[in-house]
Amino acid sequence: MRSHSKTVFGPLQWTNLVLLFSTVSVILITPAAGFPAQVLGGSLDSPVRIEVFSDFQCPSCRELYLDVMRRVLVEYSKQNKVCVIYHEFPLPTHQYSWEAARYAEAAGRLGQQKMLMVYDALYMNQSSWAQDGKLDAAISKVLSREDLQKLKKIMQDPGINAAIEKGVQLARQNRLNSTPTFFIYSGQRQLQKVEGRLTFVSLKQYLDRILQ
Amino acid sequence: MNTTMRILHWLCRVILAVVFIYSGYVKVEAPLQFAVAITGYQIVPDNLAFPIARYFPWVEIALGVIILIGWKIRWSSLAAAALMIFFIVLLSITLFRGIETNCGCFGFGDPITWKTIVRDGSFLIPALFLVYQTWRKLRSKDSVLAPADTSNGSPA
Repeated sequence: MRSHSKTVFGPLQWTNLVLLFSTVSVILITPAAGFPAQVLGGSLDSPVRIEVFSDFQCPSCRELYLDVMRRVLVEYSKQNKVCVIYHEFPLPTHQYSWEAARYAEAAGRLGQQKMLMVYDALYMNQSSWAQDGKLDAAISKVLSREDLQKLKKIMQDPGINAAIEKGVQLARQNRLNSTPTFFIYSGQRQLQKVEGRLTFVSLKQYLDRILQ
Repeated sequence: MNTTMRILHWLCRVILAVVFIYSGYVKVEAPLQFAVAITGYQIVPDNLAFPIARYFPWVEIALGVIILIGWKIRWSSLAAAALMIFFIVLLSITLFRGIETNCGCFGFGDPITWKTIVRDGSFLIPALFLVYQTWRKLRSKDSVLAPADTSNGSPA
């Protein structure tokens, strides 16, 4: 005697299945180091993910962003080969880095393009605002007056400070004590942890090898 | 070779093997971090830093294993001594140039100081001991063989 088992999904089961699938997807695509984070380029399901802990007032972070990560964004993230994620990690020894992180965090809510413009402005003009703390002057070089006003309004949200604080906590959880530090992941697997300034050539040679 | 010398010989081989295998293993695990350290020395072009970081640790591991098993011990101990001298010279030059960078010797986050040079210099002692012992042994063998060779080679 044969027995036929038949599974019938009702609307509730389908909803549960979708919920389960979306939960699994979120777990799989969430940066391994965790949020809060700002995705600078590439999709979260890129084969390789780079998560950087950075301080806007740190000179090595400036070099890493301008000389290395910007080129990674152009050469790898545009083709969704590498996802670049930045975590705020303002060091207490730097007078204006927390405020700079607030600008960057708020810029994230204006969209990726404007966020990148703010990142560029902060790092390119680091030597000037790090002296006098005039961050508005640096940001106004890339954002319109209207956008700057929007940015200032967003910065009043207590969630901005909370997001930076979470970034700092995350850095402490990972036992980081210097910037820049970055992690390279493939899926959930951590491939490398790098402290200090790496040249683009070395990173490119490594990325090309693991992306083969 | 008496017992004391035999113990010293083995001790030196084990010390050097552990040093090279451990040092290589740490770097194999973190080639990018080692590339950062190599770049910090400002002595090789940027495009060579990663290939060196990728392959050089395997040379260290291989040398450690070869010293441990004792294969071609005269040459492997000579290579170990030469490598140690190279490291000491490199570290000293970097320190004299006033470059503040990490040693990248047995891990990362270890800035180059005189202590680093003295530490690496201390590993030169077992290497030089092995070189002295193994090459002296060869010379004494040669001196024993030499008259026999002459006698065999000379016309009757």
